Amino acid sequence: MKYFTILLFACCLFVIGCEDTPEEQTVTGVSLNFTANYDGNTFVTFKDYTYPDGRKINFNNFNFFVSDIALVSEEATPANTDLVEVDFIDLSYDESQLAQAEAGKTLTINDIPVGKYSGIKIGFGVKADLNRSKPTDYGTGHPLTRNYWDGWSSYIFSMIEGGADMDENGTITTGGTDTESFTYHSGTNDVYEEVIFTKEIDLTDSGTQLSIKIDVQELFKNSSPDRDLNEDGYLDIESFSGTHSNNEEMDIAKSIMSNFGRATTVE
Amino acid sequence: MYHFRFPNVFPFFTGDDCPCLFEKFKKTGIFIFPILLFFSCQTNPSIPASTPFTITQPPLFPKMDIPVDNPLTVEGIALGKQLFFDPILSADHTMSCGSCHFPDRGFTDNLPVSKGIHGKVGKRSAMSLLNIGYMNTGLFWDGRTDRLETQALLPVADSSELAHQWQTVEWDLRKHQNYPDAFRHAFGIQDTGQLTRTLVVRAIAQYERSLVSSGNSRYDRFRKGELELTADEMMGYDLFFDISPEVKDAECGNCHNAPLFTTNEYNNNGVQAAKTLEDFKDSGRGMVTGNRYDNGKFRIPTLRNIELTAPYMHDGRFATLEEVVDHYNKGGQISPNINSLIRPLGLTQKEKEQLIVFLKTLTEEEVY
Repeated sequence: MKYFTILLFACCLFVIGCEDTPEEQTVTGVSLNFTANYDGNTFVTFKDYTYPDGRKINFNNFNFFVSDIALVSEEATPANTDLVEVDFIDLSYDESQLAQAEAGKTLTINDIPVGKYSGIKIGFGVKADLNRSKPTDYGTGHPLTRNYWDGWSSYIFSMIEGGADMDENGTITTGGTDTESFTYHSGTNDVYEEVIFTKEIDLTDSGTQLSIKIDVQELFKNSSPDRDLNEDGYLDIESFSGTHSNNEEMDIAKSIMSNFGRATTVE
Repeated sequence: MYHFRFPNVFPFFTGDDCPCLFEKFKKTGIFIFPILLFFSCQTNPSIPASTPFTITQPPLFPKMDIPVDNPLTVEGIALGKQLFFDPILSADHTMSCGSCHFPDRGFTDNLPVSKGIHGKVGKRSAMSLLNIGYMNTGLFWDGRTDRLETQALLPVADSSELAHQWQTVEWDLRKHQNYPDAFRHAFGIQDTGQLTRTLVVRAIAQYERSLVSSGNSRYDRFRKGELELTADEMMGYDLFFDISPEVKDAECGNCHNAPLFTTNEYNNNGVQAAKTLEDFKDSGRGMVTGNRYDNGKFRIPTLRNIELTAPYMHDGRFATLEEVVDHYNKGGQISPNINSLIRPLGLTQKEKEQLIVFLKTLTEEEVY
């Protein structure tokens, strides 16, 4: 009887041991590399570029939030593989930081299932459920500890600041009574912009880097005749040199945020 | 023969005269070590445990980052306060940290530029210490230190401030009638040799972290729904934060956002005229980072208690809040890397007054 019991136990162990174990899903890493350019040239602050209307323009600040970044698959379930809930992308590298400007900011996400994806979804701004929070809700180092505007009860989704040769005298004056600076701050839930970039992404064991390139000039595209007094298809920055997303200027903020889709290429 | 040398850590060994540790162990050490080990595992009943201290902070304030190697204790804060106001930290024993950071002056000295011992004139204005524990992007006007523990080391040794030598400070404190016991209670030191500058600045840092807003300013009470602001204060609030589209935007809240009324960033707010990036009289942040584009930038100070901290800016160039508001209303001075938000505001005299009335709602009713 004792030997029979031992034999039975051993058989059970054998059977259990031969059960198919669930196959572990192969995962890998994804890097999202954000860089900025101005009409194809590496974007650095305090460098003069040419605006579409021909005047000199330079920048001293360019940053924005991204939310809900996910890989999109037409076949898989769920359709979206989440990569990033929210992050802050500051591409305000100056001329002395050219290498950093060319390298941009990279977000690395691990443990993403390998496979074929049909695109990537990027939310430009802070998605509504996070935009209800405040910087004081987070600890040091969290991306949402900055760029909050109490007046709107919203994060500042994007900041574009700089100067332009408004009087077309060949120089850009910043500060003082004749300053030629501009400031475009965009925020509130109404201007949040979610874009799906269609692209075949074959995510293999060795991982993938996606280059997300933003042409800052394209953010100024504006088809509204009220804001495009030069009729060149771009915002007239001389006449409309700022926005704080209040009612009067909301259309500028909306235009800038909606332009993130067209200004961005994913490679 | 294998000779094994140790530094002279035991009184019965005589340094280099001790040729072979094993020989000594045979005679004495082999018995002493287990005894030392036994006693080292005992709790010393003569050193009381210090009492943890939790900061009471106003609603909506962020969580303060407390370094794990310097937790707040009742005894540590008390010791830090004693040291902060003790002239023992200066070379001629005439000045203390408190000589430039008066609690009833918003922790400043109301001088354009602070003075050290022997009347030696410093370079910049004393900054407010209120809520300094929340400043996590660097300290001083230029951010040259990253935490309070390292910050407190510098003024003691700075020839324009307390002009002392830390070694002498340590000696003075070790032979002091009260300090060794206070350090024992705060940090559990067992002999005066453990009383070092590291613990001195830790104690001062603990005290400084305890300097948190009371939450009793008119602004705080307004935000808590405990009172209503006057019509002028309310208009100033709107101007400050650009709440209503109908009201002008004074652009203040961009850099002085609530609840700390600073974003803790570095900024060129146009107080120094400069044709090029190399023209700033005081290059500020640029001196620390080495990046010319940071020249002329300074840490954005808190506006809490701003009514008490005149004169204003890093060099105290503005005697009154009226002068400050005028500066911003005119768009500052021309410089290449001025913040784009510094531009003519078009505020009327009445609006400027309303802005200042609002700024005065940030005054704390409690003196620390």
